[in-house]
Formats: sequence, structure tokens, C-alpha cells
Amino acid sequence: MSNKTIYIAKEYSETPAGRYKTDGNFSGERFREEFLYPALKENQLVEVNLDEALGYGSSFLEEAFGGLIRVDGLQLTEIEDKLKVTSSRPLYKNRILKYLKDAQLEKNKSN
Amino acid sequence: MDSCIFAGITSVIALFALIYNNRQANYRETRKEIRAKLDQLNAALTTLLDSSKKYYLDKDASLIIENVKIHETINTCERFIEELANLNDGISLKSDFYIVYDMITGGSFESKTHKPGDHNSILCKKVSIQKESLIAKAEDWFNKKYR
Repeated sequence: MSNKTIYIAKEYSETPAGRYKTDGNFSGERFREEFLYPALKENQLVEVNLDEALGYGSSFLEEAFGGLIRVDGLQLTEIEDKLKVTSSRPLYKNRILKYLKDAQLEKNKSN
Repeated sequence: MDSCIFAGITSVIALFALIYNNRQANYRETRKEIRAKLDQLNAALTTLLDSSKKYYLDKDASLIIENVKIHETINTCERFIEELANLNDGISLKSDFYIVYDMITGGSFESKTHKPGDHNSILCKKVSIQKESLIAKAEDWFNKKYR
């Protein structure tokens, strides 16, 4: 198992936007399905670099990261062990952690 | 001998006066800088709200232009909020600002299915209330600290 770094702006889009694939070509859902989830499955450690994009909406971030728990069935602890988010913007890192925790709480409630 | 004591006391008083004046000048300068930062934050939040209103309500607005402005002003607001939090005995407005961020950039934000219109008016009102609440908290902190 290896490590992988995903540079969203370079490898996915400088203008990631929207929650679902129906919202646009560079949605959070597509990023999760095609980049993030496969990377987490195939690697021991995944770093996601958020820099150099125009910006990220909460709908994109929630679906891309919260969806790992809500849709793909991963556990927060598993994600915390394998995923590292790097960004020069504290806002995004803070929100991603919040969305992950909220998704786990929702999942725990429904179980 | 008496004149030596008198000169010594005068020197000590002059030194204390100098220290006091320096501290007062520093205090006034810091107060001025923080006041300017708060005003800049308020202006940035107002720009953010203006763009949000156009994005969510104005059917004639260019969604791309407003979308870019929203991202830019979120960056600007975050920078001021970080600076205010990093001050010695500063104020954390992060949780208040994160609510504004979630409100504006959630839902149909950046979706190609997004349609501006009156159906988004409640969202805009809630954002406006949250912005005012953030500014009121910041002003309250400033008034307690510097007046």
C-alpha cells in the first residue's frame, strides 16, 4: 500500500463546484466517486491538497467528504487514519472535519 | 545633597511619564488598527451579502461574476477574521462566519440548476441576520476592550 496526494486544482478542476453530478461536471459527488474514494481504497495514506482552486462551496465539500461516510459507508476513525487535508485556508479544513463528524453522527443515529 | 535627591525624583517621574505616554500612544495605535480591521471586515461582509443577494435573488445578474465575487470575498473575510483571532486577547468570530459560509455556499450554490428568485428570499434574510449578529458581537468586544 502506498501514499497518494491529490491536488484538486491540478488533477480535477480549478473551479470545483456543486454537490451532485447533476449540478455540473466538477461536482463533489464526482470527485468523491472518481478520485477520493478509489484513492482511499488503494492507498494507506491519502493527502488532498485544496490550494490553487478558486474556492470551495460547502455543498462540494460536504458531498465529497461527508459522502465518504454517508454514501460509501466508511467510518470517521478510518478516514481520520488515512486522510490528510492540506490547505492554506483554515476555513476549508475546519468545515471538512465538521462535515465528516456530522455525517458520522447522522449515521450513528440511523443505526 | 537635597538637589541630588530632587534631581533623582524628577528623573524617575520623567521616566514614568515617558513610559505612560508610550503605552498610551501604543494603545491608541492598536485601537486605531483594530477599528480599521473591523471596518474592513464589515465592508467585506457587506460585499459578500450584496453578491449573495444578486446570486440568489436577481434574475438578471451574471451568476458567474457573482459566484467569483462570493469566493473572493469569503477569502477576504476569512483573512480579517483570522487576523482578529490572532491578536493578543483577540476575538474568535470563526464559528459565526462559518455559519455564513455554510448558508451562502450550501444548497444550490454553483449548481447548473440554480435559479435566482424570490424563493431564495428566506435564505438571504437569514444570512443578513447572521451577518449582523457577527458584527454586533465584534463591536461589543471592541467597545468592551477599547472604550
